[in-house]
Amino acid sequence: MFSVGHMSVVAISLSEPFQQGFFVRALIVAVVAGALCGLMSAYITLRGMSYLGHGLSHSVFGGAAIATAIPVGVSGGIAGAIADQRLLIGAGLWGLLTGLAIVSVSSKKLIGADTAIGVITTASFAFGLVLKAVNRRVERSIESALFGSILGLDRSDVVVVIVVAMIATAFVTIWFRPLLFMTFDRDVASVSGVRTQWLDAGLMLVLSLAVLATMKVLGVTLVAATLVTPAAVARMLTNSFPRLIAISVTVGAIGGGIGTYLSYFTDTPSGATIVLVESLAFLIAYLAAGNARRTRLAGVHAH
Amino acid sequence: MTSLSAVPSHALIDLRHVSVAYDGNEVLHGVTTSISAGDMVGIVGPSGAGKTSMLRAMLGTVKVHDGSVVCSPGLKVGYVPQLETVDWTFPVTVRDVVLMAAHKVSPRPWVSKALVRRSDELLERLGIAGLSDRHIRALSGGQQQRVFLARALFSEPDVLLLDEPTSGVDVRTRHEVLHLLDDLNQGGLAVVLTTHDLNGIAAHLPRLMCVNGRLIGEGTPHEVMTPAILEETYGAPMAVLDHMGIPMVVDNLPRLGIA
Repeated sequence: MFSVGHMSVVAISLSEPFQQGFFVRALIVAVVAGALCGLMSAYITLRGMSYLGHGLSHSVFGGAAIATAIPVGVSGGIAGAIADQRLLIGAGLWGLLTGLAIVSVSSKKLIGADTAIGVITTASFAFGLVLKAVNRRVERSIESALFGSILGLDRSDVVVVIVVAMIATAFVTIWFRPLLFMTFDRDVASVSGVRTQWLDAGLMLVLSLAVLATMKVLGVTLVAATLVTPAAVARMLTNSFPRLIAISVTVGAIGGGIGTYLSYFTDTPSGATIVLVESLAFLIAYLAAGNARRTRLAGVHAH
Repeated sequence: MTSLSAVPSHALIDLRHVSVAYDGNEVLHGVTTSISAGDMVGIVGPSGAGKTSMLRAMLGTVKVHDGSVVCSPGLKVGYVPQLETVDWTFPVTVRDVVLMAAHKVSPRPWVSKALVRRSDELLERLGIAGLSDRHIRALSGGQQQRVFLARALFSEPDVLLLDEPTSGVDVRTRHEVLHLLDDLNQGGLAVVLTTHDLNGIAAHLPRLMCVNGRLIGEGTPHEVMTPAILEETYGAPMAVLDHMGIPMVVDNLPRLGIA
């Protein structure tokens, strides 16, 4: 009798978060954003630009700071709505500009892509920090942008992340082959008639949008991990590109879901919890892949 | 009669006084030559001589700062990169690589059964049928070269350009690749390749271009593999022997360590 009662208490408390509107919204945003970042991570890591996610999220922080520093007098109506979202819009534009600057600087081959990313994006991040120090208005809205929070997500955040995920899916679906060609071998792709500059710009735009849509839940400092880890997990489990994308998306979505759910009980920052769940997936995949390789090698030696 | 009118009318790619420079450093000066249907040409020269720049000028991927490159209307070019530049850890199968070229043939994002069949037929024609689902790293050097050949051939080009197709491969693979290119050439495809291998590759080709910043000599191996042209091309004395009717280049360097 006691155990039945005990179990039902556990069952109620485990399903408790789902009765909270804010949690359901956060869960949807985290799962969709996780899948979105998982998708982008495939293209970023395979191009050897793992650092780009890290850089871009920091750079976006600078853009957000600039946008919030601009005082706006409008409220209500479309202008008011735009003014309310100026943090997102400013950050997005800034992210796109930095992304394009990185591609342009690194394609000149004067300095490596990692160096270009390091210089351009940390400059932008530092600029944001300076603005934050001198402008109190920036301070308040930026704090949650840095570390993320599942509180205070409204319906429009859910819509934004779903729309961005749809745009990203459409982009990589329509240009699947040229994107694969460009990711694999940019030089030969452009020789073979792939419009690499346009695709690059498209990829940077989608990536900036993904960082933005994810920023509220994860925080800029942790978005980077979700733009690398899922593909890293997938890479250890498969040699096929379509399967790599499927696994990346799944790891991202599940990581987002489990992380958000756990954070409700542990009362830890959602971004950090999500990243830890994905990192755990990485550890498991790493150990599993290592074991598989050892078994294969042992098989070879046995012959 | 100007020299331009001497250019054959069936030229596929026509280079007229072409100069190429990177950041103000000229790597190729005043090259005039042409590639015609059915040609099989090797571009030889030392490292940094402008071999790859010449290939890129033909491809149209490098800005020609003087002169002009004229291609015949509707010309389709296939390009095979140096295998050493390929990222072998990238998660792609043989079929994935071949179908990268499908975007030119069909704008649809998905791959139709017809395209897959075409890819399989191509692989079969190149002698690597049944390897479609293999990861590209799990192949021999000769098989890897064929995969990238298949990608270049997918859009049925008129000219095939190859950058050092045999660098870093063993003798057997070199023979395989050379035979394969000869077969494709016999089938009507024009083939242009760069190589640093004078005896293994260049001497066996019907036509050579010796390049070192400019076009030093052009003709059959017998015509251009002479001590004079080779020394001008490579900046080092070389002797040329005859091996069963094929010129063979040896270093003209006395044995070291004897007084």
